[in-house]
Amino acid sequence: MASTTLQEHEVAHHFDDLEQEFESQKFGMWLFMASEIMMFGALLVGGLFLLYLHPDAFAESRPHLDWRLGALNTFFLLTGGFTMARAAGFAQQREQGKVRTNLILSLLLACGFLVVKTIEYKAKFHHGLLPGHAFHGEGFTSLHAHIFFGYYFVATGLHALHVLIGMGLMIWCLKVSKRVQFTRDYYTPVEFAGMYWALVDLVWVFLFPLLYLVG
Amino acid sequence: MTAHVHDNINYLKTSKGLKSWLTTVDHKRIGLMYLASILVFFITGGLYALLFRLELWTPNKDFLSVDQYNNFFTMHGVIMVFLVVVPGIPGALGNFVLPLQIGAKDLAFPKLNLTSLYLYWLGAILAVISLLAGHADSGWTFYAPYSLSKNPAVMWMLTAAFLLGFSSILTGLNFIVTIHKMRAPGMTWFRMPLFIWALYATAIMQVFATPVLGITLILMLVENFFHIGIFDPALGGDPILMQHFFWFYSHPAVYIIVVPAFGIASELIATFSKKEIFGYKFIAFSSVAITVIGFLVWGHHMFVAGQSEVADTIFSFLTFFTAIPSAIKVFNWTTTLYKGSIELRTPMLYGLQVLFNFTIGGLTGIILAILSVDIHLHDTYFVVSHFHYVAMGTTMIAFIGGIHYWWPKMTGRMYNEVVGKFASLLVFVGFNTVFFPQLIMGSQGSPRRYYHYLPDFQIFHQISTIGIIILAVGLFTALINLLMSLRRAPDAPQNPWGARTLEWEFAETPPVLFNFKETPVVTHGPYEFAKEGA
Amino acid sequence: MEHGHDYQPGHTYNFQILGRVYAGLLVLAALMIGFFLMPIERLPIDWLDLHLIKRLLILADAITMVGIIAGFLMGLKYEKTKLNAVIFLSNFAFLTIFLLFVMADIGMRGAMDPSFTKQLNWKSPVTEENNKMQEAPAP
Ligand SMILES: [Cu+2]
Repeated sequence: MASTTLQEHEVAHHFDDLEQEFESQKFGMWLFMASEIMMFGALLVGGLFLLYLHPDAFAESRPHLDWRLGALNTFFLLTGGFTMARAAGFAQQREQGKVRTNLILSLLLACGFLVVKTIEYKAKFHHGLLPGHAFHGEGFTSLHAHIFFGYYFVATGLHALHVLIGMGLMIWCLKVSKRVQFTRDYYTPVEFAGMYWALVDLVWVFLFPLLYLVG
Repeated sequence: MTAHVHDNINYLKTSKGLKSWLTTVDHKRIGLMYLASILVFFITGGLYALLFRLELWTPNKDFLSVDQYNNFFTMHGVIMVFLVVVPGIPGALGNFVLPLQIGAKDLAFPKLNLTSLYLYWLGAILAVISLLAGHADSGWTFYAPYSLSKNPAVMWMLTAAFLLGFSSILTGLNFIVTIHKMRAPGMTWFRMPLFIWALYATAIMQVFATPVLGITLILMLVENFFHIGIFDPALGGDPILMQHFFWFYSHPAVYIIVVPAFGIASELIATFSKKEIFGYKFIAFSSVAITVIGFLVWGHHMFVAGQSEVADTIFSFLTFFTAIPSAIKVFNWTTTLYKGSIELRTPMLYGLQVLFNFTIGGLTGIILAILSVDIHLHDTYFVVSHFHYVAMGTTMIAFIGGIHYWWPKMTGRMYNEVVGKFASLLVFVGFNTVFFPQLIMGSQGSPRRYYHYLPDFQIFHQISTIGIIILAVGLFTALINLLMSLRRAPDAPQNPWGARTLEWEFAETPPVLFNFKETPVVTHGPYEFAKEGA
Repeated sequence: MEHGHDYQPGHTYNFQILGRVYAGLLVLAALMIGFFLMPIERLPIDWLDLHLIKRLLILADAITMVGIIAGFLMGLKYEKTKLNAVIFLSNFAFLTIFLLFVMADIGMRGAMDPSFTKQLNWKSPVTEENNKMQEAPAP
């Protein structure tokens, strides 16, 4: 078995026991996610404000986003959340190999998301649907369509950045899986990467309708 | 087991050399590095203030150009807010004291703690780059659309503030987890010192409000580069939305600044009155109440900005509620003093100043919350004076008091008590000489941030400028007094003040690497002085 | 070290439940798109703001999805302490306050004083330039 070459996890010196260590880290993770949610939440509030301020711009610009691509990306993200949770489950069962398979699957799905995003961005560039002074879309009657696309790029760009961070966490988990044996008592890295991915999902679940469906 | 030998040496001596400090994860050393950095920036920000106050000696140009003047008050504001008062007490004293006071070996995430120190330094470096890149002149509030004019110095400053905010979030996160999960046996919630309660309330605001500042600054930067048009009115954006975003963070930030100071004041006043603090639970919960109310009142900064009158009314109404928890604290401190056996040691002199200054700072805040009055007072020196009574008069004074209080624990040395008292007197006189005239001048309508002013106001400006010189002398005297003590042999007893909290009763002076030789078991509250010797 | 023996961190993952959660999320996502494609706003009902109803349906769907993601994928449902749920919910409390108060500003500008224009109505120079460029070649 591979486990003979893998180390077991040790509790850090300043914690009394595994319980204190795990519960502290879990709590810290939740607080970190809370701060991320506040950041994205404020961005969404800004979006709603703009939607209220320039409904015409949103109504006119929204059809330029393809909801089918958005739906495909929703599928990628949700499936990634599913495979990450499975990875954590396999980590509890000491199935190092299946953990890796699921991590790699999630990575591929994340790449899929980014590929679709790139295709979308390219189309926007092609049609001149860009922020601010760079905007030269044709056939717009609203004066503020550039704001919609500006917001679109900021919001999806920031979200894509978090997708990248999430992918970084998955790669980190893959590395840890080569070094440390995951057990029922120690599967923290995979669990936390999965939680982070769920956060990426959660943000998208609001962002997708706001940009692709509501305007 | 060589590790155990090291564990029992005081934390300053466990390892030597610059590298051992830069890679340390010991909360005490990180706290000291924060302290040193913050004092450097406090002096820098103070020098800016000194220079533009000297410029204001006459209504016309003395020795600074208009550009330089705008730049100087901006630098003063940004440095003091983002590099001094926001990270100040939590970063320096909180880091050092928090694990000691709750009986933990370290913070929950020591490496994260070092990361936030590095982020702080990185932010500081960017602020210095901004200084070299030109004149940042937007004021510390970065209001749109002026700050959207692609001024590179302003853009560096925005990035710096973003990193400093990130650092602040990580510190807050670390504190909350530590307070929840790392308390020593017997350290129940209501046996925690009030400083811990204050840090706890502060940390909640750091974690929940600072991300909104983060997104604001990101949007400002993007707006500068790509002209999104979210905030820029020329592109169809709404500059008042920017103010909503900014103040949703920055009003709670006022409490991030001042609540830890309340915590220190509680420690000082209780310890030097040798009396159980009056209304412990009220003080503790008032910190939490301030946190919650602090999230509901940000619109009071926008009464004359073009915000709707409905929002104005709601925000004005809600702002009055902040008076309740603030007053609870002031009354409880005063009652604690009553019939206490008050010892006027140096830290206590600062504690009493906090009580005095915060009463003025808080009450002027209520005056500003009144809608009709604010229309007259908005953007005058009255506002300047109000928030300096809070940020400087309360926070920095408490910070300095706290440094004097925990200095023996940090360094193992006592400073000269007579010089310390003399310095605190100078600080008190200097501070009030600077800012009391500004209250009068502001109520007569003198606008803030102006380079030229009406000659009628010259006398107030001159008193103010004399005050800042006294204040500067006082602060330097205090600093030199502290630094001089380092040349003496370690002589501080374990508990020079007779305090009842863990860091004095259980930890050695200075503490060992993991704080306590064995995990302390807490059997009494933090201020149970009556039982001593009984 | 001794008293940590009977402690197990977190919850044990149940793949069957996970599968159902995943399927549920996909159904909800499909439903969300369904609401979007359904021409609800063309129904012959004029005493209801059908655009708003459509948006509210989509919003309710999104909130349900967020609840499921937080509950099962982030494991909030299985937490032993209420603390993490409190953090998560206070997020939404703070954000709701933020949204409501911002709307109390923008939605009510001029509500009391008619001389106050409803919004800062600036013309966008960007599109103005575009318009000029489109009109210019004519003469
Ligand atoms: Cu405020």
